[in-house]
Amino acid sequence: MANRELIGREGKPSTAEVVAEEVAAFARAIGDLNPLYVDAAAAAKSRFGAVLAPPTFPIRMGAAAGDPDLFLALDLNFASLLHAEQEFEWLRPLVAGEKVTITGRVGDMWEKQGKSGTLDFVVLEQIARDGKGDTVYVARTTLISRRM
Amino acid sequence: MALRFDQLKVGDSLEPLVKGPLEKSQFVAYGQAAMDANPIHTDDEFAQQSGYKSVFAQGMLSMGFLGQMLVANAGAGNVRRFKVRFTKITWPGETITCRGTVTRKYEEHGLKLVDCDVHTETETGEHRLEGSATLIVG
Repeated sequence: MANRELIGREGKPSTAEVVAEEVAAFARAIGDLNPLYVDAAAAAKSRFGAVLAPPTFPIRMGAAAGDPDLFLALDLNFASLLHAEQEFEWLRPLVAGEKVTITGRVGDMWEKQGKSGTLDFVVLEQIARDGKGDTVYVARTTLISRRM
Repeated sequence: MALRFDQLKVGDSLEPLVKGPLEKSQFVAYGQAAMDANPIHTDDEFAQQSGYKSVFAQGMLSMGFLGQMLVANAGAGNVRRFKVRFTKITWPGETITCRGTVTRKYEEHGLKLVDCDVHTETETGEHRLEGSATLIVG
């Protein structure tokens, strides 16, 4: 349920590396054969210097980075979860070989009365920072859960 | 790249991108590549037990299509902000067109920026994903 005291709470950070082969598989699955994503030799000669992460790649970066304790603290009806919105904010390009520290954070929470009961809305953020502590991207996922 | 800040006007269309017809095998491939193991996108029986007529595309796959369209227009590394609402379900067999329209052009932090409304639509013009993006335009 929408416990607004959780807003701002951060999960345990984890480290993730951009792996060229994972970027290529991700891009191919989208059907996007941009050489910057799928051709390491071509990407190395580009202004990025290495395989580049596509705009939605943080969803793959973050798949294994979530802190289960933070997620469970939300106390949602997990069987009814819907992915309602997704946002990515990029501060700079991210390339293969780079490591980022990903921190989960409860960005916002609110509830709404729907026709079939109470709906809980949660915005989960993932903030990726580089070795210097500078933010590379922020991913925001809005989830809707139907309260039991 | 294709977009030129001095030539762009509010109301201009981005170059659209057509994807599909979508196949169920693509949902399996995307699920593996994105580490999204939800069987509602890959197992028809599971999807039907959950009340859907069949599996359907991951919302993030469709967002990936829109991302491909944005990069094709603005160039790699130039998508500054990108947000969508997963308004409607995208089904296998559908052909999806990704579209964008310029809503604002401005300079901020020394960057030339363009805001766009973006959406995906079916062959009959029904919107599936709707959102917005901010692009860096040289």
